[in-house]
Amino acid sequence: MSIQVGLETVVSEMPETVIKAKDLSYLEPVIPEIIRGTFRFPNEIRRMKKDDAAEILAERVARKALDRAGLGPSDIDYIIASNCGGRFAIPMVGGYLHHKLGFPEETPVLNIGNACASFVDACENAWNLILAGKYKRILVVTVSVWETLGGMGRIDVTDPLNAILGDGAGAAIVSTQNLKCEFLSYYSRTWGEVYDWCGCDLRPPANPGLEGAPDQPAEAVYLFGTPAFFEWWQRVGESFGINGINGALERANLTLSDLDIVIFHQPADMLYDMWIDGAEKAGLSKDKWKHTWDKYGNTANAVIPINLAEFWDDGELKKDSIMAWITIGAGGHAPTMIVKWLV
Amino acid sequence: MAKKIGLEAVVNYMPENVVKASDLDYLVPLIPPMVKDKLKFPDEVRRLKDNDAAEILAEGVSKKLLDQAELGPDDIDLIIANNCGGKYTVPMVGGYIHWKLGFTQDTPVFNLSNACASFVDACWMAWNFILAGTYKRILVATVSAWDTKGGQVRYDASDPFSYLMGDGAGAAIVSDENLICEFLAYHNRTFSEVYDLCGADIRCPLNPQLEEAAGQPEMTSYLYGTPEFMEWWQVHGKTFGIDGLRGAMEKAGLALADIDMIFMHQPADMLYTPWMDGAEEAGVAKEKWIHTWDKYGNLSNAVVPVNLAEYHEAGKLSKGDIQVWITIGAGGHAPTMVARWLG
Repeated sequence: MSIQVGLETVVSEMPETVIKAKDLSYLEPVIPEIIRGTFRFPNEIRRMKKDDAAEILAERVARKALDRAGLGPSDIDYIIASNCGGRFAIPMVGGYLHHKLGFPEETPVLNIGNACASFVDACENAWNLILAGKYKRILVVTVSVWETLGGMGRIDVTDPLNAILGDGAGAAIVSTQNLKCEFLSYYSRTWGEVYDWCGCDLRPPANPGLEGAPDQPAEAVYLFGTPAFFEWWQRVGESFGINGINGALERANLTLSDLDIVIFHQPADMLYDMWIDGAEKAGLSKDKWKHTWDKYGNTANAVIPINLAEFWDDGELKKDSIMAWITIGAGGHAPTMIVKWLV
Repeated sequence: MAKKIGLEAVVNYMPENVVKASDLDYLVPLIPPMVKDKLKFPDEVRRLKDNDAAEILAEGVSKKLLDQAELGPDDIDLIIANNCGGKYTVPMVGGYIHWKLGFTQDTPVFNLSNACASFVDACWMAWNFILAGTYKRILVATVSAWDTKGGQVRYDASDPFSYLMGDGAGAAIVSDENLICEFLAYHNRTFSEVYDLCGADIRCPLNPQLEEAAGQPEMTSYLYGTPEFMEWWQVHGKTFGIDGLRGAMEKAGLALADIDMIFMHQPADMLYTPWMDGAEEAGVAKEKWIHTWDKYGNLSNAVVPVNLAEYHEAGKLSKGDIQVWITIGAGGHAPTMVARWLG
């Protein structure tokens, strides 16, 4: 029998500052024609307007994960980290939390750069490191912060498409002990053709003179998505969700009818609605898709652990329920995992 | 008996354009007094002055690798990639390689972000994926490209430290078949106290008034190293090399005397010379340290595979040789591997 690997704990850490949709009304005149009528801001997002926001959230969420699991740095033998946004392009925050939490020098840190797919890909990596017998307990930390100086990437507050990004952090401990959930399968798809269509690039703000917009750096590493990206999404949107879920379920020797919950990347409601519609046509009920879009917006790499922690705390996750985690990140990385909730 | 895993092939791919130390005379007056007598420019570095340089090199090195190993994209079941420098901060070049070489959609791509430590950490990751039984043949590609627009990071042509960086790419296939070298041990140290001291940050050129460095972007993700970083290096320089060698050789069940060659990160000769001095005091002869400093400069993440390929092609690697690969990257990531050459 293969070794059971999964999450020993999962936590989220959210900034207290709330931005409401009405605070973003100055952006309405510049919503592109092509999506006017389908695009809307989340009711609320969280933001931490500090240059050190990535580091602050990384440290807090990592401490919270250790506290919740009743563990200390010496119980962790590997760290995987990712930040979307942050003041540095290099390094990512893994080293920072290693330093601040006092991990031993021999504890390795791997920073992973798969954008919004990073949490699921980090879990796959951690799973394999444990299966290989080299490590026992791995801390996975993902941080999404968008109002820093912007070495790694920042939102352009003059661009409505950027305004849907929220700050927040999620962390988990992957191990074989005291499991709250068990990994059953991993299935990856890569659409490398989107490489040039979505990401973070050095550029000026989209609408530098926009009335009502807060001050922006004249040039920064701003997020972008091209019209070609949205055309591509139109083509693959309906099949993206169901194909990912079916592929992952097949690897877990399960069927669509076994699936209880889908926890998914929430890039924008107009984008993920297509996934839900396509899956419904294949027989997957819409109410199985759980999200926090109107509370947190798009929290990038941290969506899955934030929502898992939130739904767990709210008692929405039932023992033995089968869940799919499905994501897609810039670069076209689209992993899906099937997981069984155990508690 | 443990499964033998190592490199099936390793190649490099270097731009043809050569920049000579004599081209950099204008920077000599700007060398900080504390390193005036120690800092010297490499005799030559290579440069590919193109905004797509990271993508061009990533595609070129991956194609060359597959050709040399007589393999096609269908033979590879995972890609691990990293670029230091490049037009985008996000995504990294893994998705681009996937797209341009026509990998199948179900071939995952993991982009790492451990700066100059990325190749060795990628090999460790690949080793474990194969040990776990999940993947069989993994393509690892590392690219160093500094004369792009600088979404990820670029060199500052008005900063003498920055001008040590060279462009180039190295790639390898990790597998358990047709091995030219076998991995014996991995030893990690994380010096995370350097997190804030070295990396890539949004800033203006250091000496914007410099006529010879005209044409620099006003603001971009420039490389930096603080005076505190240099002080840290003064403290750790002599022990860094020998401690890494000892730790890794001990894990391989070997002694220092068994080392034949050391392939090392070559950040600057004034920085790696203390490693060699410290190791010499412990009995490791200086001639065992292999580098191409005066030919390629600091190739960041690609130093180890570029030099391995160079020495392999030149017939300088002998069957049975014990090699150590020792690196350090921004964020304080410092992995060391021991490998036995079999080819």
